[in-house]
Amino acid sequence: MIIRPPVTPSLVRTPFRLRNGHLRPRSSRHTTAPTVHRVQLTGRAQSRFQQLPSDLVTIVPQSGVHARPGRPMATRLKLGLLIPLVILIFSLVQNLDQVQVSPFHRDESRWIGRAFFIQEIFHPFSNTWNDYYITNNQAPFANYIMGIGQFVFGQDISIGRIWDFNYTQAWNELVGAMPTPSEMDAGRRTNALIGAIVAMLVYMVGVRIGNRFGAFIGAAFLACHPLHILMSSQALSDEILALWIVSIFLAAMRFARRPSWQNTTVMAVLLGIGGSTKLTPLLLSFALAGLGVALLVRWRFFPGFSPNPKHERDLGIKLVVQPFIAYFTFVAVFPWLWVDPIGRTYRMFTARAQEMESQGNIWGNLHVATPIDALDRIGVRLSHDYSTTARLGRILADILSFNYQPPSIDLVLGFAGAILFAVLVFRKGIASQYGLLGYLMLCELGIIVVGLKADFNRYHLPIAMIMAICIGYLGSRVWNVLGSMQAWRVLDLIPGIDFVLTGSKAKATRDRSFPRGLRRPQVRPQTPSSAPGNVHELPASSD
Amino acid sequence: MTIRSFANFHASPRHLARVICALWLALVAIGTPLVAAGPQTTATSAIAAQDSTSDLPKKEAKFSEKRIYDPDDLINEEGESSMESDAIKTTRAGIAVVVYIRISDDTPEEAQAFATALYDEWDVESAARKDDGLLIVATVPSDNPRGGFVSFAWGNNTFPVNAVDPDRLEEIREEIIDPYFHQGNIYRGLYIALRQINYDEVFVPGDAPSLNAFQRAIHNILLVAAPVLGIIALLAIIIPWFTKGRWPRALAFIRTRRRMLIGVVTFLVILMPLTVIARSTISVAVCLFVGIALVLDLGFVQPRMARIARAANVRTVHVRPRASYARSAATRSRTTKGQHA
Repeated sequence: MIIRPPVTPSLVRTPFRLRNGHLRPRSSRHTTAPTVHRVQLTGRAQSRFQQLPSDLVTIVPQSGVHARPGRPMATRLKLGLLIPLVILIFSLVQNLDQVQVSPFHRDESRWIGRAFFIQEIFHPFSNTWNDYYITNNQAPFANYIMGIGQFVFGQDISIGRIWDFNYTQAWNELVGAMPTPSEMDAGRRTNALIGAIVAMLVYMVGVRIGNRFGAFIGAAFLACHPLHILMSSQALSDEILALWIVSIFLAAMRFARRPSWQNTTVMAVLLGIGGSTKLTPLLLSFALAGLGVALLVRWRFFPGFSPNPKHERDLGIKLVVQPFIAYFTFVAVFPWLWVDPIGRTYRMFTARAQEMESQGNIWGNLHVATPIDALDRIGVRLSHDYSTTARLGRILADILSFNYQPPSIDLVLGFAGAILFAVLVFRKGIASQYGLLGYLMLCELGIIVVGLKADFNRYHLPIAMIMAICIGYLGSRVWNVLGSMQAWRVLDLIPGIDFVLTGSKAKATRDRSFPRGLRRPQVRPQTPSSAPGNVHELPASSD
Repeated sequence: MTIRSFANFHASPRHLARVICALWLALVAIGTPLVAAGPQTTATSAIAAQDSTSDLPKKEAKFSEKRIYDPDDLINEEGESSMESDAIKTTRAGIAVVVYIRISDDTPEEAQAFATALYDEWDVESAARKDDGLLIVATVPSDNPRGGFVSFAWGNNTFPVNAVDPDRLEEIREEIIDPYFHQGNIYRGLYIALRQINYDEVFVPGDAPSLNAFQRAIHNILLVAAPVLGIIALLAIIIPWFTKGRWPRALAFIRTRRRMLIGVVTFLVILMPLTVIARSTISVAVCLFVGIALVLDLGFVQPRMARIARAANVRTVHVRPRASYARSAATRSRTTKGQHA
């Protein structure tokens, strides 16, 4: 039995529980204590297990983590919780700052106007779910979220009016299609929170593919991204789509690590819900099924090429069923589809394709003719129109009172990160969590590039998110490289500061060569007498 | 005297007047029973009632080219063009609409008859014999520009189109058209009415068709059967959660968990289409709860139990079904009896 920190003994899922310092069976069926081979403990758990007989438990302190027996776990600040929370608040503040400033978008009326869907979901056979423009043109899940937001912020979720794009704002105000300021505010604040959650989830993806530093960089990049802030401060559905996409990424990584039926179900349900927000995740489910078929073919006919055949077989089987579960979820949450699930889904896809085509025709300057043109548009949008680095550079120039227009290097960083990530995928294989994440990001990018017919800024949000993940990975690699070069010791040149490396890599780091030209500082062991102000503990960098 | 008048009708105006009166009386005498015996459709009655239909205006162009008619120039060119575009949108959305604006001293009844006659005469519809058009006739009295009103005429297949039906038209007349017409603003009243009709037919749902007898029967059956069977299915799923993985005695009649699962899934597969056909909300709730319980059971509870069993090194032993036990017991008893014998 291996108990990994930081779980407490009470959370360990075994038929035994720790009671009065002894392992007791949870039920009468388990009468004998299990054979415990190795236990890794930290903190409070270590102190509690001290009383166990030594022949039963071998206590192996985890390297790099300092046990503080006297201090309750609840009061300890854990970086794993603190950093996501900081990201959440940082992004939320930026989004809320723009809620009153962002210009009105006519689509906001549509998402707010259909917020009453959340009420009508409890009456799935009411007139609301008849076959007409409002139901057969857009999937409803973003409206559910918007409805919940309106309800939470105390707005009346009554039957709203939808913006008619054929007519002017004056007419739509006359017919009641313009949301009231309070409704707009509620919708935008809902989206601000969702945008902040998206940034936090990007951090979580970053932690899983890299380290905390890189993940923080990636999440902060997204939190500062002007397009992300704009979308998070308008009551549109695109941030909600981004939420589902990044959730799908996380679920896919978990699924790739452990292809159990639970993880399969969770990922497929997220794909279905995402599809019920903006349709494209449904296409992702088909892409995943294609990958599943490829894995099964490799497992069956080319087992020599497969590093872990059993894992790939499990993965392949459970990827193939993704479209079915996702489609079932998609239909289940949308009562309009119940009468004719396949026919109406097809109608909805064709209607969306036609609408995008007509949008491209109506706004000639936004028309995207080919995928190559789409790539060009994406480049312009994400480097010229909306750029984090240009924005931060401008802020810095303003602070320093420089009259300088900094260039955007978002795409450069994103490409660098993507290439490094591709190398990682190549090394770990397509059946790894990195491989599945890379495949999903590539598919999402491909769907956008192929399907883009009108160059609206909101369609680029998932790409900005993918770029943030790649930049996060780049940050992780940079951090690791700096760590291996012991670059932090440069700061030892500052008088009065001594860096003491702790953790699992301390020894390895000490053994490596010091950067050329710099004096190797004498590493002193940490003692209680050391002045806390002068000693900085470096976190152990993870792979 | 009348016969003499017929013979000498050219002799004097008095004879001529007598002849005409006699002809009129004869026509009325013959025509009245025929009209009374014939079908009383709005169109025929209107044609019969009004001699104003004899001079109906002629259609100037195809409806695909012109849907707004304003012979008396009550609306300027720009307004007409705007209304034309709205009428086209309304037609595309499902109601082939034509607007006729005129100066006339007709009463509302006469104007209604005129509208009905014009609808028939012009064949206001989206395609031949579809009879799905809507004619809006705006009548403005010559002596009172603020006393205008509208009359509607429509076909048998025009309504309903989503929320637009005769009642909604009446609401639009009262809430939008009449107030503007009383202000003398004919154009604004008509163009807002047109847009409102367009908006309602696109964005506002109509009433769903009512259940037929078959659907009603299934609906009533599901009202009772779905909750009862749903509760049984839920119990069959949930009870084993609290029996430490052992198959409970209370569910012994189902014998095994696998049979229970097959039964529950079959129940759901049958119930879901019936729910949609019969539009039963309570069945939706049953499907939802049973489905969630099934997913929890298959995806989370059973794997957890299996994990616990693996961790405790508990083996799963497959035993023969009870019937086999019964058979073997019977065989044993017979053998025992034989030995005794």
